[in-house]
Amino acid sequence: MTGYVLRRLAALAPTLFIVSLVAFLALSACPGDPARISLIMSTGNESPSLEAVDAERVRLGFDRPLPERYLAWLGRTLHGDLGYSIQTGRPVGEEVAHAAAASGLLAATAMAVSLLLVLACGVGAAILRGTLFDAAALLWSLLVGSMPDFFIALLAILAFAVHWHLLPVTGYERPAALVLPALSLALSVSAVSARLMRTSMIQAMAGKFLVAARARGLPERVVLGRHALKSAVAPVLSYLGAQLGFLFGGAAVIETLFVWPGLGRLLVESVRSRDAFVVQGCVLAVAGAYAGINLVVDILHAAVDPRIRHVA
Amino acid sequence: MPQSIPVSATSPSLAPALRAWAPLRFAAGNPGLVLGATLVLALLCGGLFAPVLAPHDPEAQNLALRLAAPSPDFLLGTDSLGRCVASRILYGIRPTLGLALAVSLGVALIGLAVGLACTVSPLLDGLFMRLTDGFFAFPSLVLSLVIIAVAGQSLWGLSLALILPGWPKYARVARTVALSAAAGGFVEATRALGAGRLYILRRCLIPQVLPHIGTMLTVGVGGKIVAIAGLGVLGLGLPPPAPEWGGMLVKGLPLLAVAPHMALTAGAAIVLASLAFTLAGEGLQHLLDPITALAGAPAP
Repeated sequence: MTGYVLRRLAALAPTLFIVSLVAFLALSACPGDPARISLIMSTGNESPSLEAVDAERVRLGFDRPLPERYLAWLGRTLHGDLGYSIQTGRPVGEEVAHAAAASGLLAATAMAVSLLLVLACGVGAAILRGTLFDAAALLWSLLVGSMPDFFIALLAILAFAVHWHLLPVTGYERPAALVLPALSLALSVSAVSARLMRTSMIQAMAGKFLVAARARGLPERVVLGRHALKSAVAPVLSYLGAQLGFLFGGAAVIETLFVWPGLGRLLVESVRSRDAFVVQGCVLAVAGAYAGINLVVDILHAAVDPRIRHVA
Repeated sequence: MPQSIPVSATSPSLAPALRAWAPLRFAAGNPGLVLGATLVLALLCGGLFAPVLAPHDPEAQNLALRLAAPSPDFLLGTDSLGRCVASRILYGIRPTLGLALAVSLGVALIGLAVGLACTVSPLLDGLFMRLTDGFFAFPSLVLSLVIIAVAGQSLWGLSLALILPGWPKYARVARTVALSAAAGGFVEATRALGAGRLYILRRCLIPQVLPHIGTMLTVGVGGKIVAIAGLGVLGLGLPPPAPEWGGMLVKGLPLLAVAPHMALTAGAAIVLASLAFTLAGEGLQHLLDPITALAGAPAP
């Protein structure tokens, strides 16, 4: 197991290198003079002199060739210095941390809800195969699965906020405001994975090891709930893990619709205002979280399914 | 109850009748493909003949009739400037479908080229595969947003933002199929007959890869339609004068209580258009590659 974790960590290195390269290139390719911006932010002087800007450029190393600047940037980034937001003047690290907390809350809630939905619909449909419940679950997942998340959000707003006046659409401070965005994301994520769960569960239920478990006299609850489910849930977990990475930062459309102050929305706002430092900070946070989540999911997958450890 | 006719024992007199039934039998066996293809055709016609089909000028404002509910004159109602929503939806097919088709084609061609290049040398293969690893390190929307931040919000920037995150998936599939085909006995036999690299590429590898890329491409157009609409919702999509579904949806959002038809029709158009290509693509996959289709779940 330790060997597997180490190999998986080593495989992360090239990915992180490319991530850092993308963030760095995005920063240097964006329009605007970073030296000027940095000077305005640190001194509060709106129109610094050309000499001061040149001096600042030399101090930040922007007069150096690109590879050298990359190394210097990498050093600063690893020390947690991500620069300042052009829009608000606050340190990017601070802004990204706030947004990451909001995104984390939304993603975790959405994931918990979709896990419940996937288990209930997927396992239920597998056990009750061929019944009305199975057909209804299939229809449901086909219907919802073919809708983009923002359309689900639109329907949810129309039903719960406009028609029944049950839930607020926006307002980060109120807990009730979490419901609609989390529900929209959860429905969108669980539609495909519920079908995956059903297929996987049916495959597991055909396994010979269940015959053995039943022959040992185990009650059906344990046979299905522990033996079948444990072997069926592994592929679903790894699929949902990838989705969690998407929820954390990739849910920009939902976050924007519901004015949720998460990473995705921060990224969209900074792209709109061409705030290169914030764009770069968001990219690093999202890609870092994405890589970290995938790593954890792979390790969990290997812990559940020992065969994985020897393949990758 | 008429007796069913076993196909193997068809008498000559019955053959024409059976042949006439063949399209219907095909449709019954592939309902998704037929429905999807019909919808795609309808979309293409709707976009192509929008000037003829549209009941009104999509840009003509009529402020006296703002936010009118659907009526016989305005089939899908009017928007906040009194413009005909039905006409705008119809004209909205053009930019969305045009861009989605062009981008998907570009993505598929790049993926195909990279995938085939991977079969040339292990060094190139390793390099390209590490590169695709890097692309898979971001949600594709995040990469699209970064590209728009750098390239700017233009048609060119938008195309780039949709093409760059898309090709690695195609490259992976093309590479897998091409490598397994290249290891096949028939390629070795062809080489033994004196065929050159290009000949093998053209006659042995590409025909194997093309069906896979083709089905991916068809499903992919649906995904691109949703991606374009998503960027439109974020206000980073196609520039505003053109009627664009995502932008129309987000404009209708604050007016949901008074004029729900604005957002709903735009949303329905997005869902229908993406569903058409998904159905057609999955049906195509069923037809061309029954084994993978039976295995069910999409690769994670």
